[in-house]
Amino acid sequence: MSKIKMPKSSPNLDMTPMVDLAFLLVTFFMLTAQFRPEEAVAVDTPSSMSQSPIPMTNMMTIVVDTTGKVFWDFTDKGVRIAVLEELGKRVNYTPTQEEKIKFVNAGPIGVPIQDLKALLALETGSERKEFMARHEGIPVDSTDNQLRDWIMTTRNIFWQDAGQNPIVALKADGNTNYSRVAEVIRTFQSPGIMISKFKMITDLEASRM
Amino acid sequence: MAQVPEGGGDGGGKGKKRAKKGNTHIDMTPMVDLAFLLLTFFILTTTMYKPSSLQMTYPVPPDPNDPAPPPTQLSNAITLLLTKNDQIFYYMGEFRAEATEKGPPTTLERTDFSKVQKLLVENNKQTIAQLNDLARQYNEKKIDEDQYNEKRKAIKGDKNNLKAIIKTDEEAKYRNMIDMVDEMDISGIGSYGVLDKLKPEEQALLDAEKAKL
Repeated sequence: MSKIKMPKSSPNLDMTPMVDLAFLLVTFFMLTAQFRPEEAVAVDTPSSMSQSPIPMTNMMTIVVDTTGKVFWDFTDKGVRIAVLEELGKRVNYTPTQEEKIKFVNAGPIGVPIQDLKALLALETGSERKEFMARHEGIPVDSTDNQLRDWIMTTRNIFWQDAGQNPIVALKADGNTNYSRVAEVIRTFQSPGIMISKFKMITDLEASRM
Repeated sequence: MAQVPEGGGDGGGKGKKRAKKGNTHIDMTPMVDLAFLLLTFFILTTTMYKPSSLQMTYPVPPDPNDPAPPPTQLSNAITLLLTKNDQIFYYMGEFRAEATEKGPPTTLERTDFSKVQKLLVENNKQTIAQLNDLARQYNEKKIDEDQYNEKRKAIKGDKNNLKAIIKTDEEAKYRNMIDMVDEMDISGIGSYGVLDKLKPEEQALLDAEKAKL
């Protein structure tokens, strides 16, 4: 009786299908992943049962954070630059190329128009975030309603470009007082703007995930 | 783990030298390591970020030059006053500061977000029954989607259904308002409005109720 000899070398596994699959998955995840832009403003949106998705382009978002500061955001780069140039004209500020790039990538912007220059002079995102935290956001009060200017400029520029109005979304923190949000909505409805249809950005309720 | 034998070509030394038969085994271990590292990284760092949106339509502010629209029939309305600490006060029908021939003066009832759904559903049973019936017909494929949407709209827009007026005071949160609008959808209330101004009489009543909390 001879012993059964175990083969010396390790078994030769054909790994090709596994590697194929692994790379397929890697490629899929790499191509479909979208990095979430670093949020300049922390906004904890309330949840709702609504399931309609939000568009990724042609959308102007007005953000209201938990302290009631108002921010402006737009999805498309070209429009952002044009808005910056247009608003800069009001305070005799001509942004440089570098500042335009910063503005495009900055996400929501929440400073009075006269402070735009100071904001864009800052180098890093965290500095800008800190700068915006110190300021009061876009003024919405009736004496100096700059949100109106932001919205009207954006709409004019977008209209010239696309011949239609941008989609308007309101993204407010769940813990903001509604009276503050209502002020923004009143600005939406003020003469010359008249936005009565807009989207309120919410999280999908956990039970529906 | 994956040893790939090297040089399996010509073992014997005799005869003329042949060109090595293409042994194309490559050690794939590092590549596989890398692939799985990346795969793991992407799977672990990906969070499903899924915001959704609620389409809102606010009424266009009336032109001051236009004649005032006829007053809305409020006898089948519920007015919900949202206030601090997620509290809700409500009253049915029209607001009466004093007793009239239609009934005694309005008093506020108290509820909160855990109970308000039951309240609304109970007051809107008929509509919900109709909507459920319609949904059943649709599920059984007796009607197509267009018909379903149309009929659903008609049922929800019926003037005699429960209406809701959502009013918020200074201390209500935005979240409360969104939750309330959500409840409207759940309980099949088609016509509702959101206001952020209370009548002075309502405010007085609400203040009195809040003081009792």
